[in-house]
Amino acid sequence: MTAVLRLVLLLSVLVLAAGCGEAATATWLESARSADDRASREAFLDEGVPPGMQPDDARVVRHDVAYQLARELLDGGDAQGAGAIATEALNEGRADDVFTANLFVVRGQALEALGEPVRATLDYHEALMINETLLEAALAAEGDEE
Amino acid sequence: MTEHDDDWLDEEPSEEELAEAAALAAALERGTADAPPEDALAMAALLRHGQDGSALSEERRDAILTEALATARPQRPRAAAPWWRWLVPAGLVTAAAAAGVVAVLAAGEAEMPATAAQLPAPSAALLRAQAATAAGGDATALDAAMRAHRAAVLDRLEERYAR
Repeated sequence: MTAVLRLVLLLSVLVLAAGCGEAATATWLESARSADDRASREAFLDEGVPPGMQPDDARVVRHDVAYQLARELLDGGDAQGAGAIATEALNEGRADDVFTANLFVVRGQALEALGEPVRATLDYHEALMINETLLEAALAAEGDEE
Repeated sequence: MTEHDDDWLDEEPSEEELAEAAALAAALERGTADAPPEDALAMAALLRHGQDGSALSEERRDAILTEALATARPQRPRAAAPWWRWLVPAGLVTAAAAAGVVAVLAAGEAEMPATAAQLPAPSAALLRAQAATAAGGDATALDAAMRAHRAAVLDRLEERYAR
């Protein structure tokens, strides 16, 4: 009887854990939305990605928060910190989307501020390559709508 | 002990009680007494019986022992637990753990989308602002355009993972 009760308890915990996964994703996304200062952005980036979240979806969110943090640091005069945050985020993954392009832009600006014009140009170039592809698609979509 | 009890102890014995005690003492010493009271004789008989009269005879002891041995049943030795008995709880725990792992894996597979979400496309205005920033311009326009795009992306993701 005790063994059966333990079995039921264990399965209940597992079902609850599965349910908590969805709640954790919702909370994580809400944290990303409300991260509007340096502390909250740093805390968000220190947090892990909830289980069950598609890795590329998670990367998009993390890239965007990292961009905002890097921009904040750069505007505050911390080009070194901005470059480090952007590099860390880019090492997590890259895609031909606006979020990855933003990271190249802000890292290029940080490198420029640090007196690294050649490396800055390489990052601007990466950003513009992605941007060009996206802009062509956007203009084509606008043309289709008209 | 209470005060009332102490008072009781302090009471002197009556003459009748003293006479009975003397007769009892004489009866115990000699086995007889001159006109002893009935209750004193009964008490003396009880005391003498207590000294030697209650001892069992040897034959009676043997008879009791023989009867006790004949009627006593030997204690049945407790059966040893079967060696496989520990397998029952261990098996249940293993089965529960296996079921749990399967449930979690199945739930995880069901919840984790195989491909990335179809996110809203960035507007041409946003992309122009981005290109201008990459070309050395101010990031204010880019950040303003990103606010709207960010909100749309998070809305889409929340909708996707709210299932």
